[in-house]
Amino acid sequence: MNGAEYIVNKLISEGIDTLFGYPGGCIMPLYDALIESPIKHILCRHEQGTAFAANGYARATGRTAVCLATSGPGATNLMTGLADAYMDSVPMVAITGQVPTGLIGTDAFQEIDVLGMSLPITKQSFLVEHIDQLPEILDQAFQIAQEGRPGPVLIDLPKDIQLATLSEELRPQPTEGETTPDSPSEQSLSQAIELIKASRQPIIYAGGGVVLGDAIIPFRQFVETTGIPTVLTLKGLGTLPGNHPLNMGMLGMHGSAAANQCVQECDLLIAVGVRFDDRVTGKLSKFAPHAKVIHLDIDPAEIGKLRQVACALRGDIRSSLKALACTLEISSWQAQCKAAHERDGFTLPPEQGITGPHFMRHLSTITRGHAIISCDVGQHQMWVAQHYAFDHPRKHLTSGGLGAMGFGLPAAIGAQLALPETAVINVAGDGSFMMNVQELATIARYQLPIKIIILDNQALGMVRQQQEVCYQGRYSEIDLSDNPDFCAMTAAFGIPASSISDPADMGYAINKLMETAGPALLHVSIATEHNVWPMVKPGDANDQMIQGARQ
Amino acid sequence: MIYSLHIQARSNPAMLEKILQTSRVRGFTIRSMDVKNSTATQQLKIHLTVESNRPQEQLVTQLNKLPGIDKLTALHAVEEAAPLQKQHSHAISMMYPM
Repeated sequence: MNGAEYIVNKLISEGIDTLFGYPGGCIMPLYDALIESPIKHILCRHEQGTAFAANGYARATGRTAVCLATSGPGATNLMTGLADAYMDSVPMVAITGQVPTGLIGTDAFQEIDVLGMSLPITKQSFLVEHIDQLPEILDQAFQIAQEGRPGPVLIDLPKDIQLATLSEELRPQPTEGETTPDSPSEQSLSQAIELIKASRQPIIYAGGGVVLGDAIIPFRQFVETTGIPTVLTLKGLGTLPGNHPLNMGMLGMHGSAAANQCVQECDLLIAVGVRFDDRVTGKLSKFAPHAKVIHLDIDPAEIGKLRQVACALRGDIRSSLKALACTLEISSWQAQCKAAHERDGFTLPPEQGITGPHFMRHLSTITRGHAIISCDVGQHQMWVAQHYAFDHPRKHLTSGGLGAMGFGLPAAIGAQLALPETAVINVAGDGSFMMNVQELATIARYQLPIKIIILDNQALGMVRQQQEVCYQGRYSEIDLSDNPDFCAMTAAFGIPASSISDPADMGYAINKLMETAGPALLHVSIATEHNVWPMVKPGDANDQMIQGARQ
Repeated sequence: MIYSLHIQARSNPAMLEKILQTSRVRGFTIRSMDVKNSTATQQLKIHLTVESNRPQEQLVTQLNKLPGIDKLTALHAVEEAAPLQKQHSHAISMMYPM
């Protein structure tokens, strides 16, 4: 058995049934071994597409996804997708071809130090220097990608290693299951319970770590037992259903004024699977200024990184949440938060043509919050977050930490392949859509029934908004009024497309889109001037929200 | 402050780079580094002295979670550093992205 055949067998033993990749010179032995394998290989049209597709597959399922690329440009093109997985803790294994070991360091054709490039954006990177290292490296790669706080792992694989014969016939074994994560000490749990019971105005601040820790059910039980009002980060959306009475909505830069007010006034902040990102906290020194903090996280490096804590609960979130559940008498605080939510929750702007918020409310109602929404990055991403009522965080695929435009379309491909029976919708802006538009060819080739919605404001809307608000309206390089005819372009890939600009057509067009059997695109014209409100200017405190037209 | 760390790590390709890169990104300037690579045990033994305005814990927790780090001993701060020259110092104030 040679190295390439061993890898294919290992992937099968790990339960990998779908691969995303793009072949090239130094990965050809592996592609040769794939021909006879039962693994379905999805040929994307750019390596960034392969990385984002694998990323979307892993986000939608929680399972490790695998992508392949060749050396040099193939590997460099993967990097944005790996960085995105690193920032958002997505389990992935990327395998890149490399020039033969004897040529490494000679500036050979398509040779790049991929190992060195990947160090800051992976949980671990390996270079296989000898065929005998291959089994252990593969075992470690899958284990590291999944255990603790998940993340991407890269294996750089010289061509001669793929062709070399293993010195003994090893049969790949599935990686052993995750070791039981640590639990916090009894002492720190008792301290946390004391803090919770002593609190009069507690808030739960929950993020992506809840679903990563497989803790949705204990989290919801904890919220309901304690009755503590809850705010969610972008990646925490769906952790509590959008219409739950204790869900005060998203906090942060484009969160609701109500959510930010609740946090600013709380006396105890129970931070669950979050990392105090600057998009959430605004000016850090003014964030939740009166609150003691209990921080639950599996990653010790996140605790105390940006905010001093009164009590650190490092370890398994599930067991911590179960241990902390207690009943509280905080009815006046609950009423105060509820009133804030009713007064200052997300509202719809005046209807001037189609607006992003109106459209997302329609989409949410028609799909009943059950669809997987794969977003790109920008204003449309925030409108989705504000107005689509997610019922589970794995339904919301969004590039949160990296903020990578071009994420949405290929991530939708991965999600649709993982969950063929689920409605998958890519909501894109006109800027983001063009960043990985080549993946329309992938959707067409595999006839994936993905629905694509482009909110087209003929501009880089979020940059335009910040130039309006923070740079006195001095607009610099945000004009996209020479966009192509998106419908004609999509039709050229064999995908039906239609366009609307009248608000009266929204309901019909969305229903029609969702009823289409295969892939389809809906182009939605919106005004360039529409902004995302409310907003905290970068560097301002969260109690300095700007309300736009309502200000 | 100047901090001193003893690290034992597996001698993988790029392990040393990963330690250096983590130190730099997390805001710790390398003052000195002594490395012994044992081919017999395939282990690196590293004595690292770093300088930063940030708490030592912020580097220790990041290094500790790197796969391949077998043992990390953080010694007490060895001295108050003289202020770094401005061009070398890490900006401690938060710069907010766009």
